[in-house]
Amino acid sequence: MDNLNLDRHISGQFNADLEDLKTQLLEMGGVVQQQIKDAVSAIENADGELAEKVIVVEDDVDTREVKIDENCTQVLARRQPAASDLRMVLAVSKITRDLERMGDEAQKIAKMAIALNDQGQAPHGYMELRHIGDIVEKMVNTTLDAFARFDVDAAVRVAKDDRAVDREYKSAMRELITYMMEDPRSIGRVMNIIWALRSLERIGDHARNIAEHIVYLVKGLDVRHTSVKEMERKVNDA
Amino acid sequence: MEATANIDNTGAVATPKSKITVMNDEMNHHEVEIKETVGKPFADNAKMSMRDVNVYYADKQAIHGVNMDIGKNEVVAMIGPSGCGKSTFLRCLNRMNDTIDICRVEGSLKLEGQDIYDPKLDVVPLRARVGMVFQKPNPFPKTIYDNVAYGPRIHGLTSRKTELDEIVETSLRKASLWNEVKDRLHSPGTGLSGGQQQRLCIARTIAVSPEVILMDEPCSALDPIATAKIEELIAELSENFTIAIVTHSMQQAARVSSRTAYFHLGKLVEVNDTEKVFTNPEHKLTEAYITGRFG
Repeated sequence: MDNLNLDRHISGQFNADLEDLKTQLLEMGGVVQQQIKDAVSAIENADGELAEKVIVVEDDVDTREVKIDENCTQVLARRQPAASDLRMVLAVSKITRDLERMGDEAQKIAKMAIALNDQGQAPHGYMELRHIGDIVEKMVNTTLDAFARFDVDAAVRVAKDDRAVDREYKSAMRELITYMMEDPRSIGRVMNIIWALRSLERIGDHARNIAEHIVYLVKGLDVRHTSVKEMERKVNDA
Repeated sequence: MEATANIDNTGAVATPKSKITVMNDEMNHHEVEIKETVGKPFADNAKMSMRDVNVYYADKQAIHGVNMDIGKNEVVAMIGPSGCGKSTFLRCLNRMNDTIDICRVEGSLKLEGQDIYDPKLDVVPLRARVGMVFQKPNPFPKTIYDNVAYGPRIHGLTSRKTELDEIVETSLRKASLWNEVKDRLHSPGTGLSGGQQQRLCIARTIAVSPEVILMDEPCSALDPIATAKIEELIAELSENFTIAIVTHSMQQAARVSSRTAYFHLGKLVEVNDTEKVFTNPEHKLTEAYITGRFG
């Protein structure tokens, strides 16, 4: 009894089940991450083919979501996990949902890329798109890392970045609205950019949700509906 | 927080800090030390208060410096691996360990402020106040009626037949057995099914109006349906009684109790609200046990 191996379950199969869940989630994360990157790049480079690819990948993301959820249900039903295992299963189930939504938003961005290709490029907004796109891609990257490493500090950084995205989004919106007032003929095309920015902003929100699930997974703390400051304080106190 | 596990002012042997070596994948050695009970071992409205309890079987110490309260009308579950001392501790609470010659109990154990190990105290009324239900249903080889009436009779609670009838009926009702046995009160208790026998034993325990009911794995010999009935019963009984239950089923502890106590190698590692223990336990060993990581 003196040598306890606290990192492994008595049941090797249970260990394997949980490891599988983690791996599957990270794989799904990887697919969504690429999807977002491609969607932004499709707009920037007016690449219709790449945009089509982003839309096609969405089916794969949906299938992965369903599969992971099914596996979560199986673990709950067969193993009745408790404590950190329970939090892992719950967090994985919630994170897949946010990842799937991120995929949906990426798909919307890709659709805007195709629309912009058809209507001709917008005269404005690409710089903002690139800028917000960079922050959001970095956030998604950090969230997946944070999940893989159980890193709550990284999760807090994501929440902070989300605030930055919200600020950038608001300022881009002001600028683009001014532009549309000055040149009403550009409204249709600028709106496409605005929809794409809106989707990026939503992806940022989902990344923040995932960051909150990671805090719950690692520390058992519910930090939903709190300010970033409050979240940071709770994490440091725990 | 009051006294901790390392106390010698009671004259008890100072508890050595047990160190458990933990190995992880990289073969790094961690040491998990059990210093003092974490969480909420004490209650504001304590029905029973145990302080610095040490229990020995001859020279071997089975319980090391346990401090905890059991609150009035609460259900406390005690969990832990085999041999961790949870049953031994439970049996101290109505001096059931007195029946074992080599067993020695030290420390302070109080029921409503009264020392239950006071040499002048008579254990028979104590055991009426603190009743016990065992792992295996053990009805007397008597009728159902006599099983339940046995306690009230020997404790002289009543001599009138109508009153006794009433106690038997109320007790059987409280134990959710009345409807199943009301037409055969005078057939032998041993003729009932396992689950019914266990509920008969609970009826027998509550017939003497105890304040505390101790349950030592009351469902481990029962099927899931009988288990569900007993668990339902525990929830109802907790309105009027204080209950301490030892169980090997963690799901059962999670279902029936409001606080859960985790014992490990004779020490009380953690006591916390059940919802906390099963979602986010404070101690590493509690976490390891309830997630099935002892290997």
